[in-house]
Amino acid sequence: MKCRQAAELFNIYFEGGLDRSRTRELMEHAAACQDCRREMDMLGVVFDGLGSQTASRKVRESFTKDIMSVIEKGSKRPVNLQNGAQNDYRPVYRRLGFSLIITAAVMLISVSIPQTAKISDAYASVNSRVQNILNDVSNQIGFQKEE
Amino acid sequence: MTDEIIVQRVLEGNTHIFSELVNRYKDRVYAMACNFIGDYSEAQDLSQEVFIKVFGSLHLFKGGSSFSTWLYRICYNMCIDWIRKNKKKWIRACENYEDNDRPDASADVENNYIAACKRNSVITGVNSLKDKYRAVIVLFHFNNLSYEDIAHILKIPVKTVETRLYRGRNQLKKLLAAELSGGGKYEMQAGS
Repeated sequence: MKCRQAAELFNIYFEGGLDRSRTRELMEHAAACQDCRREMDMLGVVFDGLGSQTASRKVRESFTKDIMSVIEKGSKRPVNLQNGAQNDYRPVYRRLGFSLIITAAVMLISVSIPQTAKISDAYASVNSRVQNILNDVSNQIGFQKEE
Repeated sequence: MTDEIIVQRVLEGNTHIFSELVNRYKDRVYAMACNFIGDYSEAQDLSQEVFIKVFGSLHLFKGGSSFSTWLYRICYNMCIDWIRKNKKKWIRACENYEDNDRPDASADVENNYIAACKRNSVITGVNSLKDKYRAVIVLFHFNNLSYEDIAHILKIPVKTVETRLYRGRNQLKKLLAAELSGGGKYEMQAGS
């Protein structure tokens, strides 16, 4: 067995996934190779340290009760498969999604077109009044000259 | 009653039965939260938020994986989000672990004390690993999940789980070797 292979097998060995014959072969190699023995020992310490860390603390007594009280207040409810969207409590923008964006865009355009037309009409009206004033002024000047 | 049947009943309107799922998984979810974020009190609150989010998302559970895997995936994602939003708190929790959980120097058996210090060093090392290695180490060793479950949760191939586990452990070995070669620290503490 080569050292590189042994290094991979040490992981499986400590995970408990190595069969007896392979384990024997691995231990024989570790006995004969000092470097691999050291690697195995260090990996053993790592596994030992990692294996001792399952949390021994428990959740508080009111843990489940607190959760159920939030749920029963109705702040979050799942979708009822039988009633479909009827009980959908997702926010409006999530439910309507893309269709809302399209609707908003259409409304914006439809409102802006009449407004644009109104502005054009107002401009034309002001323009014609200005023209009339200018015509009046130029006529008066022309009348004075003739005199 | 299986998890999937309970989910179905909840979706049909029997909300109260969700407490059965909470009771089944509360300790494991709490353990995962503790192992990731390191602060026991914050882990309690986060664990409750996990279940509330799970309840609100039950309609999205399609049954492609087991309920437990789906639950752990949500928990894992929320833990990562918590760490991102509370980086300073998380770093402080890791530092406090090293200080507060070191065993009493007056322990009767010197060897047990040194072994416990080694374990503490391993855990400190876990917290210093890159996120991708720490995730698989925590899920495999602390939460006792299988390669397949971890692959589902992290959405990576099983072979990648194996590779990251081996590399994560190698890094821990190196960290431990470096700390032990400094050597005197344990002997000094044992003798004091």
